[in-house]
Amino acid sequence: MTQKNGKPVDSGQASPFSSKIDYEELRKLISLLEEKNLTQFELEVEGFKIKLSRSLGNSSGPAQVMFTPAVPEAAAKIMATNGEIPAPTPAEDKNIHYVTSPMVGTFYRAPSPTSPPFVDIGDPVKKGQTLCIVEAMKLMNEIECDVNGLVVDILVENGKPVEYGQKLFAIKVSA
Amino acid sequence: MPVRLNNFFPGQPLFIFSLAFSTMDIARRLAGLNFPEGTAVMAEEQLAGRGTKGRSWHSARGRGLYVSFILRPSPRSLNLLPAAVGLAAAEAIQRLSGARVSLKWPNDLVVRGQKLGGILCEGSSSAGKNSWTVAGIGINLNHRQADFPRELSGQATSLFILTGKNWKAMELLGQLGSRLKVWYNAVEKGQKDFLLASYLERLSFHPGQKLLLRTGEGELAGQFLGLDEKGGLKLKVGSETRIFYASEIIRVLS
Repeated sequence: MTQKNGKPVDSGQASPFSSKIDYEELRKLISLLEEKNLTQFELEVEGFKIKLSRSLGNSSGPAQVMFTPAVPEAAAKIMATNGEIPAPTPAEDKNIHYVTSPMVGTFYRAPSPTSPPFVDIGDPVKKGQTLCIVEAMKLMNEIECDVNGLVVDILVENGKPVEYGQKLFAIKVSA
Repeated sequence: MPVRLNNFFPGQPLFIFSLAFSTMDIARRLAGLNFPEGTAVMAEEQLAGRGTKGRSWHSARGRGLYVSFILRPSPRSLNLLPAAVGLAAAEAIQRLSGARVSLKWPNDLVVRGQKLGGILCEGSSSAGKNSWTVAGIGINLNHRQADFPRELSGQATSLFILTGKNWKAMELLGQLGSRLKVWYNAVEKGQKDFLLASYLERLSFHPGQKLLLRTGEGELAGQFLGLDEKGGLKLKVGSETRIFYASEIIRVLS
């Protein structure tokens, strides 16, 4: 497929650095910070506010970059180390609790193949309620919920193997 | 009044029922009520004795030992607990009667291919406080051939059939308590290699033999290579090595 006028097609995805500040500029700012032996630097350009800081104790250590977009929802925190900037990850919801497997085995969502599952996504759950069974060597181990809340995700498919400590359920903890 | 079973967890209660629906259900209830580790529930007869996968366990009066123990293993011990209970039961029977008992993975008690007893472990785990495992053990002591339901004939045996003598459930329980203490402590102390080597030696089949398994993805055959560190069956299936934790051995092929 050829592009109509030879111009690259705009993906339409707005990277946080796309318009006013790019990666090269960030690197320059970090070098400037080190060169001038500054510990803090703040810059506000259209729609973006950047705050750079580093500790003096370790002058060769990485500079910390705080990046605050104008849209608060999309707030991202970036650590710049040796020129590598990892992709921003969405903030972890502190109200999400994970129920994990206490053993290696097979994960079952129901007490028997013909029974309905113990819980489904969207179900309210209480402390002490059975969420699933993990079986190994005919030890049928019921896994209990240890918080009150709402099942927001089931992370393993019925009948699949699970590892020690593997996340099984995401529970949104109720206040 | 509960009798004390002194050689297992000293001072813990032993409940003996003349008749119970299921010692498993009673022990589960007691575990939920925070009864201590080592509590045991025994019945002379069960009306609804349970086996694995919702099967019933034939529990005629005075013929067998039907007992469930409450244990509170640390999470790290959970995977090897069934092997520990199986070993304890096999050794207890052998010490009492001399019968050479093997384990059909994971923990059916067999003598020359016939089933002498079975083990059922059920647990409840919570990141909160009250986690427990109930280990249920059913052993055929004094069954005559005619005592077994028709569908079990040829597949089941008893100590009476094997030795020509009647055996007392309480005597076997005493042996069971002391062997269970040994193997349970071994698991809890992390003596994995010792336990797994003893368990492998007790199995009714050996590395190199071909097994037919019933798994979640249907029946499949493979060559038995050994056990993994969690007691899982390591099998060579086609060209790949696979480990099975929740399967059933249909039979040994060769």
